[in-house]
Amino acid sequence: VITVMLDNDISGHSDLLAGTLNSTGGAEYDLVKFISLTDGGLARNAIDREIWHHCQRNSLILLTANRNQDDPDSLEQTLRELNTEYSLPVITVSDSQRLIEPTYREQCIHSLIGIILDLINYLGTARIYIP
Amino acid sequence: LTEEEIANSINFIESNRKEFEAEYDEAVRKASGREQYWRERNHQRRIDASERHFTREQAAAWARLMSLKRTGEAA
Repeated sequence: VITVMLDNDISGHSDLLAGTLNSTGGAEYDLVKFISLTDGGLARNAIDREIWHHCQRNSLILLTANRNQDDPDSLEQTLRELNTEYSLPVITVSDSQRLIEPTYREQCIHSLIGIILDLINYLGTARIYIP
Repeated sequence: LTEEEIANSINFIESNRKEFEAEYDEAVRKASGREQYWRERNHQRRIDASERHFTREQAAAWARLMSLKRTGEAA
């Protein structure tokens, strides 16, 4: 099982994502488990740089939204500075507002499972947008 | 957010609509540019499924995923 940690900006969709994982049959192979930042041992207000390090140390895949930040500790800056060819990728939902749409959510879950099944080929890619 | 905080936020946006929309447009433009950068950067890394080395369970899950994708595309 690969544990996918939902960033704060997407954790409100946790039940919807888990429901879609079940309804599309994606759960039957026991590939993915969703957790929140706090489930993963982080504070809700943890900064992006800390979240990224935590994911790398604990083999967690971060699922986040396409938010916009330019500060030095932002996810974007962290990825550009610290990503290596062996780093786990961060998966970004291109338009998180559309996660309320069942079809869009299914597309995201399909993309997510595809990445997880083929994770070794995604190491070092830093940031992958879905769907 | 509390109802008061939401109301304050809405009021702020309404009274600064022009600046807010300009900033929003700029944020959307940056996010879009960033997405394009990463999609292009990672595009070449996609490999053919035949090159993958799956375990039997992974192969079954992959076949199932492809089947679901085809169903989704046909719908």
